Amino acid sequence: MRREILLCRCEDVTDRDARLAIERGAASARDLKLRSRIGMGACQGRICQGTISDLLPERRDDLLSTRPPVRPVLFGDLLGGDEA
Amino acid sequence: MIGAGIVGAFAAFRLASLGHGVTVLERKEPGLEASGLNAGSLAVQNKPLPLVSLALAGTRLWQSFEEEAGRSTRYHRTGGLRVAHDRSGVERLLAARDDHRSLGLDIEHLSGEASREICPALGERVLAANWSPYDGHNDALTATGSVVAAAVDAGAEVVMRRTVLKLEARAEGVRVHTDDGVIDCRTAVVAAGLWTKVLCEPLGVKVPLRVRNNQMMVTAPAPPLLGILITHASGRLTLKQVAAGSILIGGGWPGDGDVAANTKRPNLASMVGNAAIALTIVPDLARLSVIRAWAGFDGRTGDELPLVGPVPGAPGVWMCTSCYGTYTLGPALADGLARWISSGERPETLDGFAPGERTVANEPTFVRPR
Repeated sequence: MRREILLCRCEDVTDRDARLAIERGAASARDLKLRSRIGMGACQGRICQGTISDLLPERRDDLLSTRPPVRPVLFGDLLGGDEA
Repeated sequence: MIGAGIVGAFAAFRLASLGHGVTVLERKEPGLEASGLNAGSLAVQNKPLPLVSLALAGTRLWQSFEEEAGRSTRYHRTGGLRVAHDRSGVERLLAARDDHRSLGLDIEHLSGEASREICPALGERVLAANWSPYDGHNDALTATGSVVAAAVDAGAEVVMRRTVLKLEARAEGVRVHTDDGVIDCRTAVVAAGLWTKVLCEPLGVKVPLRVRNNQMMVTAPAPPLLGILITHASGRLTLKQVAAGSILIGGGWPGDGDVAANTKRPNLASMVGNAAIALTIVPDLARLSVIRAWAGFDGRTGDELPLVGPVPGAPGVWMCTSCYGTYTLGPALADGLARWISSGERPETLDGFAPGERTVANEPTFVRPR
């Protein structure tokens, strides 16, 4: 039951998926993200960063790097961004 | 095998399947550079003409790999439309259609209207498109890992987090100096992407690779919008929707970064330029949000063709560099390389691509120092 708990709502990553990625060698927050997709979706880890730290107690200080545009941006708004 | 990108992984898979003892040395983990950071397009019709046959062979190998190895790369042969939204683009498409047909490919030139029947999301500004039944995509982030796993299944040994410092070509074989000891082997293959240049320097060989930094964007999951791969007459756009619903946007727009520090990040002007073309082709994208952009390094020669074969003056050392569309061609380059190493005979598919066989424009090719 616990294994079906959803850890990342954006990418539908369960506790089982994340732990499997760690068993297969994911050792850092970035590894875990690339192997399980946790933290890769719309929230970019804002919701699941704490969970990621709990999964990797030895790398508790690992923060997912931010990827532009940081917050979701509509395509139309991106075109206006040229003047920014 | 130095490098567990798509070329190194697939060549190791092939060589091990042919019964050779293979060790793969990877300084990080499989597919963490260009092989994993691209957008997963597997298109035949958007490649330079000298690479079209290899691109077709590459997509067929990507397709057959899943059954052969029993491992998924989330490959989908969706077919693809290469679109034009101006006169020069339409002319380019007509010429490409004729060129591709002369190679025996079944490429069709369609009006804008006929293109919209295949893909209703295409906007009114799309004037024409070429249909390729061969195009598709897979999941670049996980595919190289699947190929590495298949190489291990076939008997290859894969050593991760092992950095090769220097190669030494000796009479009795190649000595590979790593950050954790020395490995002697009969044949060493450098398939290290951009870093091939650095690894070949101590051998007295200058590999004329230019740094490219290629960026991509992805949207939040969306309802079904694109069932096929979309490419662009002048190569400035790729679009595909993956199983989870996200749409990946690429097209070779340059990111920012520092090769020495291996840091890379997307460039805002490139995001805007890429988005502008994407919206011209698929106006409905305006309703979607970009959630993430990323960039990856790649190294190509000035002519964007690969260098595959024995390294001149360094017996036992072979190389395979990146080229235009390496991700699509990779399995075909690797397959040819593996058969060449195994049999001693170069497959025809690799004719003209060996190091030292051609002069690469504006860059000295294989100048030996002293």
